[in-house]
Amino acid sequence: MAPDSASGSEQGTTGAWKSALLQAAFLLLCAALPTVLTARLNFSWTTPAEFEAIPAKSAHADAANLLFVDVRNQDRFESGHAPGALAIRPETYETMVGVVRAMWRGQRVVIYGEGTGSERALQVARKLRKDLEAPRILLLEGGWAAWPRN
Amino acid sequence: MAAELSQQPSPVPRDEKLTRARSGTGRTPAWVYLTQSLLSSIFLTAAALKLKDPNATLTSIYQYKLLSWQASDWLACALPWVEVAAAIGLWVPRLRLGAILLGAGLLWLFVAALLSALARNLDISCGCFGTGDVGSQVGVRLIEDLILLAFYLPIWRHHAKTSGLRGDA
Repeated sequence: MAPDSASGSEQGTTGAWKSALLQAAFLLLCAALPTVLTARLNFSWTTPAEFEAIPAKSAHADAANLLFVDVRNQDRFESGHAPGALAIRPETYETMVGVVRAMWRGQRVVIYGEGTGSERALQVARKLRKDLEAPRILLLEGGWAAWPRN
Repeated sequence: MAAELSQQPSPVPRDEKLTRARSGTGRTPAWVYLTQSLLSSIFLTAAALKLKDPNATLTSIYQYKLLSWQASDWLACALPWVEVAAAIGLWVPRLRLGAILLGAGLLWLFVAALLSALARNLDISCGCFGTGDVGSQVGVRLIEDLILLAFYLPIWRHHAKTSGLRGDA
């Protein structure tokens, strides 16, 4: 009696796994159509951005005419950064704003953090817009993660 | 006395229990509904935030440095819809087990990605909730995902048992 019930429960478990796998495959198929539509039509429901964004490739190509501000931690900055970038974080902003003023020759200022939506980048961008009398402040699209590597 | 009690029939005969389960009229415990509501609302919120800003989702995925830009792009498009499927499937009786498997599978995927980020000391936002979690700690997200995974176990047990009685399995 006991072995029968044990094998019955084993069969039930195997059956549950089998149907779960089939159902999961069906659900994945259901998700495939909107996925293809999202990829093809490049849907985006973003609200208008507070700051204009510059694609990483464009910034990389036009680096000589831009002033970069890197808001990441010091160790991340030291492991790699955009050409001529200044390392400024909200907590070091007051001491570094003078350096930005000295280096800024009216060129566009590009601010970046680790990725998209960096809160630090936004904070520094807001302060710079105010302190540099509204220069053209841009955010690097995708942050440092999107910066082209060789 | 104890022997007499143990011989007393259960208030609901076994055949009736089976009939209820087979016809799907058996009462689902409230905790199952609560757990399902919690899990599906979390997945739907995560999906909505990812769909709100696909580019941010893309860079969040790419930050993990596990996939190429192209592959991250496809994953950024697919991930929110898979989350929607895992959330809605929990409420469709014939798809519940699959939805549980899919949801738990996604969470294992997130846990693995977060662990690899921790191991490589990457300073990133997890991207689990689009850009809303910028600055959140990877360790905290890891614990949250493990807690969510734990919620899946009891509902899997419950639905695997009832689907077996109904003959779904």
